[in-house]
Amino acid sequence: MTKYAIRRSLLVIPTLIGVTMVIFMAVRFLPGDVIDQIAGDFGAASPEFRQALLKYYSLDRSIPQQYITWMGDIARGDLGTSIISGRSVGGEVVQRLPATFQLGLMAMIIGLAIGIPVGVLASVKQDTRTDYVARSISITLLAIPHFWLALLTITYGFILFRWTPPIRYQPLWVDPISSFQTLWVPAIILSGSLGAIVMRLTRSTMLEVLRQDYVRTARAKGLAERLVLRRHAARNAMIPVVTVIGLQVPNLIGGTVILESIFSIPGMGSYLFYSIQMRDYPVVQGVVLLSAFAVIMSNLIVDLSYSLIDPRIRYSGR
Amino acid sequence: MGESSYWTAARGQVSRRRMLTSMGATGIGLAGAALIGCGGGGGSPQATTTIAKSGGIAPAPQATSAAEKPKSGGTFRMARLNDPPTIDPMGNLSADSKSFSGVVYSRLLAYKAGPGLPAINFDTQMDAAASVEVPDPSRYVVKLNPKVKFTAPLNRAMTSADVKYSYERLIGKAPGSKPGPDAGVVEAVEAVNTPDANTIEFKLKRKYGAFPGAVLADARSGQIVPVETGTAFNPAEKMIGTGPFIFEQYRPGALGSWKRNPDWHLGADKPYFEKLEQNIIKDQAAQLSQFLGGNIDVIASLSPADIQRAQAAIKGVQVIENPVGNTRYIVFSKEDLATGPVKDVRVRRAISMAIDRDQMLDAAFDLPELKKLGITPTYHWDTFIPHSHEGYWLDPKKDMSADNAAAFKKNIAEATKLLAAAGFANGFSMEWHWTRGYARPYQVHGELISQMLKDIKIDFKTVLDDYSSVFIPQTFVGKFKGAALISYTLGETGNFVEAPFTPGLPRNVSGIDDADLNKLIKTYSEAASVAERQKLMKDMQELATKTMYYVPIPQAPSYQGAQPNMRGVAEYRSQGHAASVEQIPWWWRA
Amino acid sequence: MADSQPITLQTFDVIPPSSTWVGTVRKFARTKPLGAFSFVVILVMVFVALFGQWLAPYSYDDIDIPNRLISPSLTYPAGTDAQGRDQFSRLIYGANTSVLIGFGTVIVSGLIATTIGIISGYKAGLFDVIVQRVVDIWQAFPGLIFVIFVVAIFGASRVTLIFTMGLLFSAGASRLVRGATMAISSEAYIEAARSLGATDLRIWLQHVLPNVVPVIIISMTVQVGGAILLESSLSFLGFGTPPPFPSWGRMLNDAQSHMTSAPYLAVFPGLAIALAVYAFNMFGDALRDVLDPRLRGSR
Repeated sequence: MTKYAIRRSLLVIPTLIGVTMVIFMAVRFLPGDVIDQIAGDFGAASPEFRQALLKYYSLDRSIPQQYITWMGDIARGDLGTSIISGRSVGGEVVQRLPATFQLGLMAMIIGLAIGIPVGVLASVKQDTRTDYVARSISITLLAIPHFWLALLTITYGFILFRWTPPIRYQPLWVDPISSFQTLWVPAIILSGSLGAIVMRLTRSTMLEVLRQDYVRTARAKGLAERLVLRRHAARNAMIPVVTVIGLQVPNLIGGTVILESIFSIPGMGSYLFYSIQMRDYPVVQGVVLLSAFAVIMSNLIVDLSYSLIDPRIRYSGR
Repeated sequence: MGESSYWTAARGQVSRRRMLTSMGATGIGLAGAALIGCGGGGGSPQATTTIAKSGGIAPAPQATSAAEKPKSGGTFRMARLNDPPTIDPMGNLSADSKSFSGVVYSRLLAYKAGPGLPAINFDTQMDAAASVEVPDPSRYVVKLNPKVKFTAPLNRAMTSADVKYSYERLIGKAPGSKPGPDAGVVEAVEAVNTPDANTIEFKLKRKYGAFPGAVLADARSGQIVPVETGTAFNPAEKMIGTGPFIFEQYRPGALGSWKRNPDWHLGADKPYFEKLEQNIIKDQAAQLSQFLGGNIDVIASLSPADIQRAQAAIKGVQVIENPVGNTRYIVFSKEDLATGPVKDVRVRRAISMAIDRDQMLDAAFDLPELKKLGITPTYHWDTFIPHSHEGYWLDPKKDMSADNAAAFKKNIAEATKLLAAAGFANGFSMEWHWTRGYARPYQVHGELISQMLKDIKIDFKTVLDDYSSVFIPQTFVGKFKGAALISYTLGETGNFVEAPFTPGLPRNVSGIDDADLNKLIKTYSEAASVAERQKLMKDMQELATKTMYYVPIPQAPSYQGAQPNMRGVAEYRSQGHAASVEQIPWWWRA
Repeated sequence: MADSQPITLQTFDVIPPSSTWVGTVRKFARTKPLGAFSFVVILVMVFVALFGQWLAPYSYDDIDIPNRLISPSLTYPAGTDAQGRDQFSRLIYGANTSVLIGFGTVIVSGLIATTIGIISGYKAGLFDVIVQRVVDIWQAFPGLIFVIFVVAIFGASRVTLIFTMGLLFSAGASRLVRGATMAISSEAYIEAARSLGATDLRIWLQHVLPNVVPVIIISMTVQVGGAILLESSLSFLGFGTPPPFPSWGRMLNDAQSHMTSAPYLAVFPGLAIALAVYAFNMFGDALRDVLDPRLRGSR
């Protein structure tokens, strides 16, 4: 187990290096460049001007050279400076991460709180009306596009209840109440699909567990049904939890742009989205790298915790 | 306010889901105006005459027309759909950047705004300057107002060195500065001399009558930063200027905030607001919700449905019309204009005649819905200048010669005949480029045009250009095949014909080189009197209609909302990049 | 989907061998009513997508500006939009976009995932480690962002979207296939086949593939829903299928400016998306219950 953990952890390093290369190249494959976004058609119409700006930002150097410089900065813990805004990427990330993190956490808590019990219920009562209703509701939540729900909420929230979210997000430590007021609606919207995924994962895991010999034995021994459920459900519910954490990270970075804009949340999604539009290389590279790092780490944790949670999963040799 | 009146010009270009479909789109869309300084000419004749006559002093406007006395204090809460790409006024040509910094950095001159003045006017008044003298039309001598002071921590008067430094920083010649994206605006400047600490002399490469309005007052070229920029403070993180407001903080994605500058040179009681907030709310529906909830004071781009909701939710809400400030054309590529079917003027005319301009206005601007609300929008058929340029614009329905007027009217039978005569009885097909980067009306136009042309068997095959990577760097500078839908915001009247028709200028995407037009443009830029210019502009519209190199598409105004207790919003409107300085000092809350 | 169903069911002997094709369907309908309902919805959607141009009363781009923003009526069952286009017809044509992109995406995703998953799972060892790191990198990119990248490079078209989204979805699916392959590879009959000198390719096609097919089918079914949702998000953002051909996501985007005065413009496309995604997910779940080897004998 320990040997596996170490080997699995070490594999993170080549993966991360691969990620940096892919991001670095991918950004530069995008048609149009950051100079177009600074100088627009004026730059497009004047090659000398473009060249001067490229030189100013050291974008006239070869791609390997630029990559090495970037990697050097990363190694020193410097994510670089945005070409467009002139502000430090790291500083901006520090400002934006709390909102994204809080939104993700709130959505996850709501999603798990709904998904796990419903999933257990649906598995125990498989193919009964309870099962159908529970799954129908959760899959309906999964099926409704977030952006649509968000738009309906912001529009009809005022029409029906005169409700409007706080004008701007306040970090949790500045104004916890306002912070929750901003985020509870988007968190619920986001948790809908999450809850559905959790529910389905829990249901199928539970269905599987309930057929296992050791559960049958437990039942045969005359253990109360509830006790059996509690003991095994609790342990197996952990699998959807860790899986969902892994699923959530890229979704939070890339999938919440519309929610962030509708609910005025200064999060990572809109930062990345905007920077891609502006071809702001240092920002796109930095943010995608951070997001990839988070995904890879959470995958690692998921893999490792699977082996802890479920003793049947063995990792010998692979 | 920077945003709403700013968009008087760009209005209708801004996508409803602006932030999402086209970050920075609006700003760069306005980049259409980036080179207007190049050709000289055009411009507001009044501006020049005022300055020449009165030695350059036009008094700043006082109070509002209302009988009420302005009240001081309070926080003015605006919302904007985009973060400024940067808060450095010389860092990006986006209008969002200019209007964000515009309340901090003064310009030598500002555009006139106030009761009775149209929103679209390029008249100037003094800002940081005390006077502007014009010894000859290629030399402008500006004296600084001694009361103009940089706020803490600099705490010193503005000097000519700051002005010279700002110019050099703009063109990328100041130490450590990068080439400025707006350098083109000051292309006509040969040298900036500083005879003494209080005097600046702009030596121009040529006679340039519109220089004050087109360069000194324009927020792209006019904002004056202190020489300490980049050494005493980082202009990407902080702003220290001489304007009506003092920068407090900018939290990207959330908020920019300012406090009142008590020592502002244009008045002890102004600005009236104690604080200014620009809330970044990237969604129109969310902005509306905040406006209805009373959390923001003004809002731009209200649809008829929005107006209806605002009127239902807020008793006495003010709805203010913002005129169209840009032109929109179907443009053809150089190659097609030289060798394609559209080479024949009859074909271009047929295209214009296949378009039902009234229906186009109705569908794109919801005019029937507006009228149902009892609002009478001011709209006409725009020609090669927007109809809002009063005195210059020629009404195709009334004033145009019959033959040219016919080209604006929908007439499928005649259009079909013209096509047949040109040898295209069975039509033809070409690429049709447009983008998602602009607001709904633009996109409705994009869809409608290709539909309407089906009536004369012309097949416009839609090619949707990505805004950042294709539309701006390629289509917008003429690197495309077929036809494209393009909007120009060109500021002063003269530029509207000069920029797209003068050979060699980047706005002339179709490579038009028409001897008659060239001659007229030259005469126009040399013309001294307003009446003469207005007449020449009308001749130009006749000629441009006759040749129909571009096919004009009309637009209708947009609407901004203001809370009932806001004062001055309807009176103090202004045109131009970052009109904030012209407006917000004069706005107040009852 | 309809064709593969009996084959896979036979593979797993869930249904008694004597039962006929019709009997299979009947049993499925009885034990999985929601799944059966969803299957009907899917069939209807596919039918509409295929024969839309004969079903729709108008063309998707018939503008009629004097008749704009008309509420749902007998003439216009779903009303007309701001350009006077019949929303009902556009919804019908929109089904074509959704079905094409949904199925196209999962076919691409299924092919890639199966190839990678089987080879990686069967070969194991260093090869597997490397392939899995590549998949890691692939998954580390935020999905929506990945698609926007590719669309920016190759331009928005249905083909681009299908291949991009297929590539995107294949990463997760390949993990499932790999897992199933690994489980099967240790079975005795595979060992036997190998010792008898069967080539890898032969083993993959004859022994491994039939056994991982259920996993693939289940994941593909659910992914159709995911693809439809993603396409609508992209269209809403302006990166999806280009006009004038309608897509439900773009119809929602267009509806925004009239959302309060003409709510029907936003309601019908939204419902269409939700129903389609619901159906594919529900059907996928039902298939999982029936087909998943791990759940075999659960009835």
